[in-house]
Amino acid sequence: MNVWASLILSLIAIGAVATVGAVAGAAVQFFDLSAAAWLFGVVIPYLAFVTFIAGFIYRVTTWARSPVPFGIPTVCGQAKSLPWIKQSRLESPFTKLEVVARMALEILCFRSLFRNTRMTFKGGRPLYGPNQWLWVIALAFHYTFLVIVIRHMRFFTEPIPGVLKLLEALDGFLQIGAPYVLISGFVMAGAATFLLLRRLAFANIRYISLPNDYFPLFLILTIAGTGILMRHVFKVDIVAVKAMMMGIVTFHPVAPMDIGMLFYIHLFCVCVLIAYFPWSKLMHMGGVFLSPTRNLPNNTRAVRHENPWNYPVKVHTYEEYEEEFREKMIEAGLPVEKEAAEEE
Amino acid sequence: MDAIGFFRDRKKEVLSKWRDAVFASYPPERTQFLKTKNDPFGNPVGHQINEGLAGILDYLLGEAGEEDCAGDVKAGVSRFLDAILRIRAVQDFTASQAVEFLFALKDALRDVADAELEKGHDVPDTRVLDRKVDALALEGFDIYCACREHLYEIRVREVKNLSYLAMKRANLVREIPGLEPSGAAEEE
Amino acid sequence: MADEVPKTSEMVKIDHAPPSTGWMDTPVVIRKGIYSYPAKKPTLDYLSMPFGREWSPLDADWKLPPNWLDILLEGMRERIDRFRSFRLFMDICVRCGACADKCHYFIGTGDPKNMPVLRAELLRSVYRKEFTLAGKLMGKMVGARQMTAEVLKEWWYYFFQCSECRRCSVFCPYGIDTAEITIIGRELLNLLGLNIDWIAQPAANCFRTGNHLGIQPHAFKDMLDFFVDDTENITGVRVNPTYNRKGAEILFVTPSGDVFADPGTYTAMGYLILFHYLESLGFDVTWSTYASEGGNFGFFTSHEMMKRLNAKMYAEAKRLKVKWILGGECGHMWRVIHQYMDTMNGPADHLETPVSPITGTRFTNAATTKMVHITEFTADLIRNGKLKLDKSRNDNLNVTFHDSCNPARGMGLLDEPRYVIQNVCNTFHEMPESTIREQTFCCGSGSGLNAGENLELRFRGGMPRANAVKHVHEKHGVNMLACVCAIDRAVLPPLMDYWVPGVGVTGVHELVGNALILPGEKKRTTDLRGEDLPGVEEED
Repeated sequence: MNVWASLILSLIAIGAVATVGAVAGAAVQFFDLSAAAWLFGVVIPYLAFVTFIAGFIYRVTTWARSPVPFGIPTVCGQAKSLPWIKQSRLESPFTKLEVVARMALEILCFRSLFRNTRMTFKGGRPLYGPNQWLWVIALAFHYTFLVIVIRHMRFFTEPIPGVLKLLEALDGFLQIGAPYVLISGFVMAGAATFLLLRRLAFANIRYISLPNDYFPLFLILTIAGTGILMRHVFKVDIVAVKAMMMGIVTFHPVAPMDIGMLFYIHLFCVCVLIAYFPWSKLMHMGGVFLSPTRNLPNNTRAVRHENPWNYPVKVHTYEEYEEEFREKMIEAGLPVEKEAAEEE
Repeated sequence: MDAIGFFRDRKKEVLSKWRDAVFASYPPERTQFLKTKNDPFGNPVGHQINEGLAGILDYLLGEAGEEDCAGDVKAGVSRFLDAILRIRAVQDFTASQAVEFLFALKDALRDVADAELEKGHDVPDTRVLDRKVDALALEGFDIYCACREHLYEIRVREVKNLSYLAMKRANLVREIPGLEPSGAAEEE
Repeated sequence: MADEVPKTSEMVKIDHAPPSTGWMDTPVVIRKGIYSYPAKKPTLDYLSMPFGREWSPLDADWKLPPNWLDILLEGMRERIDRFRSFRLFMDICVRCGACADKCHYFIGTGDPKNMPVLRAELLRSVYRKEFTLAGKLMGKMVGARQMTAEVLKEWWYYFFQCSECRRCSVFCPYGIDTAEITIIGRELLNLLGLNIDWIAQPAANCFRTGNHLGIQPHAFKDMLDFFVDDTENITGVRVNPTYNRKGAEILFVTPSGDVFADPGTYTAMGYLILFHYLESLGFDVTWSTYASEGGNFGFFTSHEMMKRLNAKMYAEAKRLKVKWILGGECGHMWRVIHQYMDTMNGPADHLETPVSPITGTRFTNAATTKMVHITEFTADLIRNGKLKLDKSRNDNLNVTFHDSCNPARGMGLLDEPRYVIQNVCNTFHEMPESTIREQTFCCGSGSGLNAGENLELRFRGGMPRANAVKHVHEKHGVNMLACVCAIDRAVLPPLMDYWVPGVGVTGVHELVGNALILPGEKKRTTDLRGEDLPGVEEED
């Protein structure tokens, strides 16, 4: 599938999702269809959430249940060896604690992605410059995503915890606009756009991209876009949204009729995203914790790694070997077993 | 103005056109990486080609510094030709494809000259450069052939060493004292 | 005017047209110089591997068994259930492209299917189609495709263009290791008899005779006897290695390349000199003709074959009743020992935690596998001042060190060889940071790809490594490339010959052998290669 087909397909998909959301919103707003409000405001969110949780658990447990027959960490630094040789504890962990530290660095700081460097010459001397813009963008994207998810907890909690208020205050520290512009939304949208453009701009990345690489980016951009629009342009009734969300979390769902079309697009996209999540590449979120090249200690010569399905194999025994070559071995003066046995 | 001086003033343009033509001989998924990643160790192929093209053009326009090639300009340009052709000799190119990049330089020169002509500027006679490029191309063929020959020599040597060792192992070889085994002698 | 004249490339019809199709729809073109010859029937039969037959990769018909698809899919299912690495790496790639330009074959060939991500997608696309709901329902939309004979050819072509070096895995944010995928991919191909000759034949030889060339035991001893003579000529001291000797304290296992191929042979002489030096200090070692191959071509075939070949080491150690095993300089041999051996063929309760008989150092890092790398062992000797060394005997050498992929990324053996080299040589220069240690570039011929017929592939893949050597050669005058791998020693000399003439290749223990002053030795006039030592000519 070439790039155009991939792009068009994923655009059709995202268009369809947004349209469904918009139609639902219109049905509620203009035709007072309470059935649509129930379906898209209550039933689908519940279903999506259940799919997400069940799917996530299913995927992670499937991985976790598969055996890890061999200790195969990718070693990225000096191993623990002689006492006077300095071990690189984060890059070649020996103990469990060191593994945890390596994993933390990987998961929280994207250590491996940070490794990209570029070398140039300056006056004949090699100069290692950072070539880590992918790392920067990826970090920005993931952390703002996290902030946004946490920020949205204000719709699900009553009273709103102080931590959330603090986070929101930090997020809006620029104090521009009314309500304040929250930086995270814009940064995330920017980063997602960047990731999308990167996919399109680099010939070799474009070549490996599939429709299901573009689709989640489009989905996230739609969600971010509608979110920003709702906060700053077509403001929605926050009180009604909160009432609805509280209804959902307290299992006393209500189907509000007056929140607006934009909100239904936003909500439906979010539902699609979380329902889609466990079945897609987005599961790298869960998978990274289980990666055997990262979460195993490099101590396989010191501590035995067990393989649960280790089975006996056919080997060429010494006896078979000697049987074949005995005469030549004796002639060459090599010690043999059988001859020794006969002598005894 | 003579052709050399004329193109010296437009070297950047010529080089960029030439570069584009050379990289266009690689598949597109590759071209971008080759052209844009500027790292002599992360992208050695692209780096060597870039350096080589610039070096050859310098030579052609008589700008190769004497110190770059220890006074031997001819050896200097051979070094650049070798760097590029040595790579192309192990890539999926036929002999004509491998050397074609040198003729692309003619096109680049002509394109730049034509553009000036269209602007109504005077353009000098470029025959001298054409001949220089032809000479380079001929040398390029030699170098390409030498690289391919080198590959075959290496292959033959690997086979020879293997069979010699096999015979030696089977105790079939009795060496004449002081005489290097055949094959080993040719390696010198 | 000029517009009407077609360009040269147009006149000779050189086609630069890009393939407009996506990678899934671009059929594989199998090229000479890139592929290796297929495995032969007798070797596969000897190893009890299925479907040995005469076939050619260039033929349209690969003579596959009629039910090949069922065999293949069943094989995949089995491995998905057995390897978390496989299942996980099939699922979580986001195609970020961080690995794309890290593969030496991609850097050197430009073939997009040599990008690690795409190499893995070759298998992943089939996994999605057959083992995921989304792939079954939505097909190409989610990157799934049908397994066909054409796809199988693509697998064969590209899984034998990966040297399992794991460089991509260092840069992957999820640690996806293409080596794992290639290993599984080759296992699947082997289910259909689709191995390459340069792997299958050495594997069969190792199985039968204990070494990859099929050398019989007496000839193995003969070869070492040659070295004994040569060593005596050079040093005036006669060393006396023992073979298959019961009751020795230590069993020594090294790749057989050290015994049979230059310049590895000089490394073997280095071991002999070192062992002889240590003998009077209480070092008690034996060689084995049965376990005479450290290298493991089974590793390039399947996990099972790796285990079958590796089993000899512990079996021989047990038979000879040694206390522990010392391992020579080899790349993938050490990955197998470090990450697989104990799991597969252990626990080795018949052995003891290795203790250096000279220094008393306990190698606790090898407490369970009970096998020590010779550079660890020698580094410890040097550190404790046990070796009398004359560095100046290596003064004709200006050395750099090539980290072999497996000791670097498979075990983290980085500083030990450097410590040894710097204690036996006066001049040492590192290559650029992004080409050594965990980021080291492969020699381009690892994992059984060191055949003769695929020289173009090897030279393209080795180009990034050679390029870094060239840099230190031109800048610092480096003329010797040291390494701790037998495949390196076999393939780097021609690679250097082509890209960086004037740079030789050596094992670390050849350098040790040159510098080590044996008690009672004569004044040496040549190094182990028989070349004049620096300063000798002036004296004469």
